[in-house]
Amino acid sequence: MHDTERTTEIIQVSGLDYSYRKNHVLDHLQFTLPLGESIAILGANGSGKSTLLSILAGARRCPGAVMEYQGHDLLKETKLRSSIIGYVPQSDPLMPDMSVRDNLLLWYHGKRSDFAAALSAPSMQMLQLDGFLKKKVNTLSGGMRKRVSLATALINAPQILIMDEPAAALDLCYKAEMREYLRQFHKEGHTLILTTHDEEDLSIISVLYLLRGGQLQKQDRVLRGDELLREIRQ
Amino acid sequence: MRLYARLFRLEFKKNLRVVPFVAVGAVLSVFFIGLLVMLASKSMYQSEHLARAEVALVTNDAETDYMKQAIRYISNMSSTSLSLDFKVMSEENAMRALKQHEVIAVMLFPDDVINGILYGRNDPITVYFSEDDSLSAVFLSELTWSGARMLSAAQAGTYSAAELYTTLGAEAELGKAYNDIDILNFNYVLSRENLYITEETLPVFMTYIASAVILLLFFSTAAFAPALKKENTSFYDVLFSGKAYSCLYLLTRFLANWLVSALLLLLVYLPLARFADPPFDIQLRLIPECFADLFLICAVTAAFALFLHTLTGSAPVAILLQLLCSVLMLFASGGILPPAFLPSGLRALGQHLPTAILSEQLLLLLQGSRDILLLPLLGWIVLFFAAACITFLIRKGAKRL
Repeated sequence: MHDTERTTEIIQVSGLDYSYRKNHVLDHLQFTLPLGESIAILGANGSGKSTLLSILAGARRCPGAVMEYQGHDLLKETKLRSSIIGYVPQSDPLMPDMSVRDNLLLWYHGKRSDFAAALSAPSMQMLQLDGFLKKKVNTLSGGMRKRVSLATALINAPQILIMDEPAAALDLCYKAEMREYLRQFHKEGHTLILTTHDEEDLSIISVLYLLRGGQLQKQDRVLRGDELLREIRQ
Repeated sequence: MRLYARLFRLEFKKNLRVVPFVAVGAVLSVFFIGLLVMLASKSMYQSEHLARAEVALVTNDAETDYMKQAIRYISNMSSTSLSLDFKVMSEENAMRALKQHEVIAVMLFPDDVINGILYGRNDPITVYFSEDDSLSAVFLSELTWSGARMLSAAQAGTYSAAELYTTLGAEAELGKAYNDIDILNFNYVLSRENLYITEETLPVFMTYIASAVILLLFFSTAAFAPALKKENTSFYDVLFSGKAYSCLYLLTRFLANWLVSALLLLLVYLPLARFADPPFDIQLRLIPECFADLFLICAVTAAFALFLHTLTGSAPVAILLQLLCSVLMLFASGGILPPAFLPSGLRALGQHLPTAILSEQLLLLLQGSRDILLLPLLGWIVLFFAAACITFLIRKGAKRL
């Protein structure tokens, strides 16, 4: 468990209701996201975790939902949202035929002249992409592609990183590597919101939510092992 | 705008990268279109191909004015001018050439045949065909029918003049005047027929050239599929979580594909216009209107391809649809079979299809015209692009434009 006393701000989410035809996956959710924490949302397959993250990232519309931050509704204020939130979906948001550099430049919000400086920021240096910038994405391994996906979000130095299953389809080494990047990102005082099916990922988590039956329940501690399984199966 | 400029840059790059595949696609298209033409000609005329063939003329009057004009006349007829060459030979050589399939037919003219027809003797012309060549039969039957029509017109003219001389009491002058009357009649008949043929032949051939170019454009632009295929869902999730608008994103894709395909076509057109000596009075001119034509034509094909890729969401299905639709539309608009052969409903529909407009514009381009069918072409571009946007939004499930 990380130090939670540094949390001074929150994002208040309310009115979040979402259905896939008759399948009501998110049932009028109302919750707070403490900034500076690393938050995991766990749940069974199909429980709506990815849907929830995509709504929070602004990738999916959810009429009636409000995401309040310092008096602003982040779901409505696109510019503010994209300046403070970085989003990495489950599969890689990359153009496979293009180089790593091209992909990073595409998602970079700043001027082209500032791009080199953005690449040399500590969070980007941590990903060690310098030797791969000219390589085409489709020539990279799955682990490297995931690293580039993370870089597309970190290139804009977001305060909040939303990541859907960071370790999905990665081998053990890449999983450990990815976890280390996320731990580092959180250590720098940023907020991490992720979904996972991998219990190992919980080692970097300070706040745990369980998504069951369309409801999001905050746990008073980060559950592990059988206890966690029992809670998810309920 | 920065995002769209970067998207455009990447889309342009993607399109440039597939240019070699497009070039291969164009070569393959030429092959398949050639095959199609060959098969079509085979089914239409039961002949192997539409290559030029020779017909032997056996006559002792080859040097007379009448016969020279008659040969010029039959050589210029719409069907024969496309496929037959006429050669005066001795009977022996002609029959040997027919046996060895060097000529497809031999026409034996009796002595003084033209005068015979003009003066009512009507000596028959004997025609020998080579075996199993129904194409030549089609052409030569037209030839003999038209020849008889022309000669009967001249014959009528000569008889009318003779009657006029008799009525005016100038029988004494008639003997001297016959030769002049015949030549005058003959010349007038020929000049009218020639005028008719010149007007008719050019558009028919031009139409088929335009159809081939349209098919070539549609077939070769199908090779742009790797650049036009949709990105993965996560890419769109991130793109639309920011400030991106679907239609502007599609606009970058359309512009990139349009520009690259237009530049590619320009690369082919410029040297052709500058150095080539095209047949059939084709005039490829280096004027702004022709460049505008090329860009507009490419814009239609680019918008159509974008629509199909957005509609299907699958590159192989989009390619298949593009090939199928282009052939069907071209057929309906009379680019493969003349519109006269089509049912009236289909003919009416076909006139408004993009292939009909493209064909008309290409004909103008090939004739070096400055006319541009701006509104119909723009209409189809806007229609295809709007359809692509609507389809994209429906597929995405989003509501913003």
